[in-house]
Amino acid sequence: MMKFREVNHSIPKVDGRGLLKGASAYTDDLAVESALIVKLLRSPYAFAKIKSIDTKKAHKVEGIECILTYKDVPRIPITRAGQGYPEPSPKDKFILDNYVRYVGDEVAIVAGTTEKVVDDALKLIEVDYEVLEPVLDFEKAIGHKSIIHPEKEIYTMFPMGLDVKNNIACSYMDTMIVGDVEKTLAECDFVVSERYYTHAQQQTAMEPHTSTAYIDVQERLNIISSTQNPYHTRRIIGEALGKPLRDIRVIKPRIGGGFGAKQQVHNDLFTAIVTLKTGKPSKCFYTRKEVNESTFTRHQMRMDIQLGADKEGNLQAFDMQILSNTGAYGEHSLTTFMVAGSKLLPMYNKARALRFEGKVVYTNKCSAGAYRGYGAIQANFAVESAMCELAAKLKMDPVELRLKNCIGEGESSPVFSVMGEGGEGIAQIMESCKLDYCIKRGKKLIGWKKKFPSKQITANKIRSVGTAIAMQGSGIPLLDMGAAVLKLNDDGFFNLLVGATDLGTGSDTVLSQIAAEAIGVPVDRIVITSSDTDTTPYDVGAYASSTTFVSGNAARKAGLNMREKLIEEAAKALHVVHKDDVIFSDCTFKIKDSDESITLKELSEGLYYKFGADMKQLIASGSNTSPKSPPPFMAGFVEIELDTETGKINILDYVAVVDCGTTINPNLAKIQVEGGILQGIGMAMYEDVIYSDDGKMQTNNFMKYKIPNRKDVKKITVEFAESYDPAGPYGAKSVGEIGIDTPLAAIANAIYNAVGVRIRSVPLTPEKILNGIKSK
Amino acid sequence: MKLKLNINNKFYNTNIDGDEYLLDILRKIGFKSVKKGCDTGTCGVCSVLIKGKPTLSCQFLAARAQNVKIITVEGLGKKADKIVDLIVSEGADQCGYCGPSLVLTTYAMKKELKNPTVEKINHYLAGNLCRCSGYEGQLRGIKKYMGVK
Amino acid sequence: MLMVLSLLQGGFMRFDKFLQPEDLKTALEILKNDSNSVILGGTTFLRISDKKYSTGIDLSNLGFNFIKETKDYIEIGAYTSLRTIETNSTINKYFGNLITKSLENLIGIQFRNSATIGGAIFGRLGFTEINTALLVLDCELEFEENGIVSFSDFISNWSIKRDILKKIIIKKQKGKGSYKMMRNSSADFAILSVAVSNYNGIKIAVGTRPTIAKLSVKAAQFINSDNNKIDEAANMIADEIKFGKDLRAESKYRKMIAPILVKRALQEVL
Repeated sequence: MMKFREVNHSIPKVDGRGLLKGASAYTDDLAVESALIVKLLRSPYAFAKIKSIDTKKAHKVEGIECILTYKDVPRIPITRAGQGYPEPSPKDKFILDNYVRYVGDEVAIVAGTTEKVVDDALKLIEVDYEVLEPVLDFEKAIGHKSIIHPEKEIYTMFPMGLDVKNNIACSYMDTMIVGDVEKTLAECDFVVSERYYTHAQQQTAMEPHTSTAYIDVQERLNIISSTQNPYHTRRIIGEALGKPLRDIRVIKPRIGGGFGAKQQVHNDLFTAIVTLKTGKPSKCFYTRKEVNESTFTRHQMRMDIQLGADKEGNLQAFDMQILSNTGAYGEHSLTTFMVAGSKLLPMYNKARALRFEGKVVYTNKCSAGAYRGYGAIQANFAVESAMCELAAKLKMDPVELRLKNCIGEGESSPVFSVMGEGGEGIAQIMESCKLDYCIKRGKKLIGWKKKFPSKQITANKIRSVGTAIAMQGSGIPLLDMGAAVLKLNDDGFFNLLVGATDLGTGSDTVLSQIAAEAIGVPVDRIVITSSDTDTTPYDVGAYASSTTFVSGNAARKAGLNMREKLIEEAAKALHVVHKDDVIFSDCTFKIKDSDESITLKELSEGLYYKFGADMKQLIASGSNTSPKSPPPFMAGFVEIELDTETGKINILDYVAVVDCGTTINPNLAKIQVEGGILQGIGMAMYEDVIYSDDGKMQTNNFMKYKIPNRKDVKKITVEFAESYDPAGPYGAKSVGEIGIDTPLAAIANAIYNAVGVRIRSVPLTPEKILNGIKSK
Repeated sequence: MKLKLNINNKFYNTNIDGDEYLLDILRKIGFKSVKKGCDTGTCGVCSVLIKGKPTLSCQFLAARAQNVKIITVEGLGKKADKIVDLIVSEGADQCGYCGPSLVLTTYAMKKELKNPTVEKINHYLAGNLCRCSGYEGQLRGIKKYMGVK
Repeated sequence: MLMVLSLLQGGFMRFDKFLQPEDLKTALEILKNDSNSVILGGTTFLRISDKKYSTGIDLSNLGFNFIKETKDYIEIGAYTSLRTIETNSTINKYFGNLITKSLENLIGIQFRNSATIGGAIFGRLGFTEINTALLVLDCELEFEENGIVSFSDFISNWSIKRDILKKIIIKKQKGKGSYKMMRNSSADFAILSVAVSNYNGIKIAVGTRPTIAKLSVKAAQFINSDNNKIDEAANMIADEIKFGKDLRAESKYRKMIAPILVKRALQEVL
């Protein structure tokens, strides 16, 4: 393992103490006291047309300052998704429309002086709806007589298979095909051909989505938002309101979690328009009900998997067909679908026949959006379950089956060049891949040999083990770009300005460590400012596991750039002709073979105040985009105890061995994996998004939507493989998403190993398990 | 109605509606460490100490708070430092939204539980939801604070 | 059912006047004369109903926050928090296996520090687990107007609607009690709760089914006639008790596991 001074050290997060001691740092803390409260009237119907809307009575409530309906806002179709430009999603959303497409869809915007006043006004708005038949079953969306998006303004920025008459948001067929799948399957000795379902899931960041807006002294619109991507937000708001981008500023302060939930424009549209119309500051703080019902969930997916192997267990054919449910709007429809294919197919790169196809359909349910894993977690459940079904047919240890077929270091897959995140991909070789080590190490840590498949503990308790492996990405090749700027101050410290968004993940800290390493100073010499479109350089924002890899390399470039400039100035100050004679370490510049030196502090003071004609402000920058997206890898192993009389399972141990390249901050990397695992366990066992027969979301608060609790898991063990990727900053890849992918299949496989019950849908509830046991 | 609140051993005079809850009043006065996270009293991020007991400020009617001792994390001052440092040293502070309420509840837990097992710690803290950290990192720090091996 | 609809609206409870009457007599008068008034307990469930009341009647400073032990009884004031009851050493000494276990999984200690036993009982909500436990104890309630009423009568008929609950009275008895439950996530509401006591014979109650707790008659009679027939008695529960479906489980699942939980509880008390 390479030794670094600042990187690969577990330093505390730069904002940790402040946050825990109650610093006023989140959007709602920063909104001015006088900000108008903005709330939304939301549709009670899954699909309806507004025949008339009357706000006269509501306007009469004292304290009401602004009420907007679809008649009062610009009719410009946008996509709310924050992901690159041209956006890989249909432009199918208006700020307000005369169609409502799910229960919770926005009908009117109301702003007033207090919450009570706004609540009273909301109740007085009279809406006459023409109720239409909703599309609630995503398997019946294609060809349904209701067309969810009949509006003529809908369009896509490049062809993606949008077919509104059939409620298809996008489609991907006849593109990702290698060899002949049907023929190869027919030649295989063992075939698994099964269908799997995953449901929607709520990201459940603890801070509800918040936005506040005000007009500054230059008459520009300023928005403070709990956003994962201020730059995309600025662009989309500008587009939606027909406003030049130079007149908009978006700032991300501290936010209380993201996980993809805040990778879109949410209530910023509403505070922006209210503030523009009234000239007054406004704020909008979603209730938990609104967060669950009216932001975005994970995509519900149906996956048909076909795997074919020869007698020895060599995978020959790998076919995945997906139907994905994007809900009422198509924000992340294409990209999550693509990730499902592009992160699973290459994992088993030795199969000679490959195919990935499918469609994403609209339904009259809450829109689906970004959530950690982003398609890979759904596909992982299906593929890793199918692999264990194949192992059972082969009578082979499932771990051995993975080791035989998984991708290795130096290898590649044809999938990389075919599949990007919205279209074509870029060929890649795995310059770092310790997946085989991860599998072997995890197998040892969980005690697989002794515990596989299961052990009877008492008459009604069985313990068993299960496994799944996973792969993700590190940013999107040649689409993600990030930049960093460094500024030297007197007293010898640096401002580091990055657009990258810290969602609580600690990227501010990690990027500071990288910059410090590159300059060659201790990390406490760095003061970081992030995520302000006026003062920090561009960054796509936190998604696709891009921050450490893409933005980190930008911080490294800026740091190296700064180091060069420092040495140049030090050489001048020390009257040395050749820069190479200057040695910079321990915040001091020395001349080789001489006693002459100048400290960083002295140099910085000189540059500001003393060096006469040589005074200057040192600024260095770095931008980064990469044709590579080196995947992190993980092997997940679970041990469960199953009560055969009730179906209840308890997780005794979850072992994860991760290859994420260098861990820039080992503690923070560990927490990313632990946090991801628990979210995966939540989706696997406890969390379910449930709708009534007429499309109302039932699980719209924490009493009905249960995320895992402290008592739910006994032990999580995380280790990192020694790995180094030459494309990453100091060898780092990414670690933000990889943790979440494996628990679904690992637990489903453990249940099968315990009682021979194969469940092909999540959540894996005691009820499903007991029903399975009883029906054997 | 007029209300005199005892927050962190200082008095604050304020005007409230009878049906307002302590959470909103505390934030209005300026105690931004007390957070709103859900509608149903289920997430714990609004926890404060009332008469030393961890209580949901979103469930506590402000009108009942006359002359009741309320402690927020701002009021713990240096007493919070050890808990804060132990959680931060694990990197388990993450987004920090559940942080202040966790610090307060942990502080109260040390006063209430003597030599607890890990099970008892997790039971005491069960009402403090966290979505970022996976709980393990927080537990590593809190175990040290509680003196559990 | 009204409350479910209100929950769908998403607003919060409001009231115009906050009143702290000087005594119960005055409070009861207000409650009976103003049909849009409401007694404010912990307000943990009241708060999330989108109802607008005229008056909120607060009795929290009238001294009903207590746990008292007399020679034969334990008395709990209606304003006592669930957490106080859960951690009380006297309650634990006599009824630990029943009462404490039926309380300790509800959401979190902060929630239980806010919710009151009066509110939990008066609401007659299906998911209130302590109801299951109280049904198998010798338990009475004291109301301001209706006086002393047996807990099982109060639970099974809805005749008392506008009255003030003052205290819960539980008879101290020698014997064993057992509480069993099934829940998915550890802090979720229960899918099923079962309480069994063996004081003067066996009592069996099944609750959160998902409707309100109910005492068994047939299965209890059966096990009382022959203490050895645990399996048979437990199996009778499946047909005797009605089970329903909710977000958390189908009725079929509840019907399958009820006999298992009853069996396990009976094994602990016999």
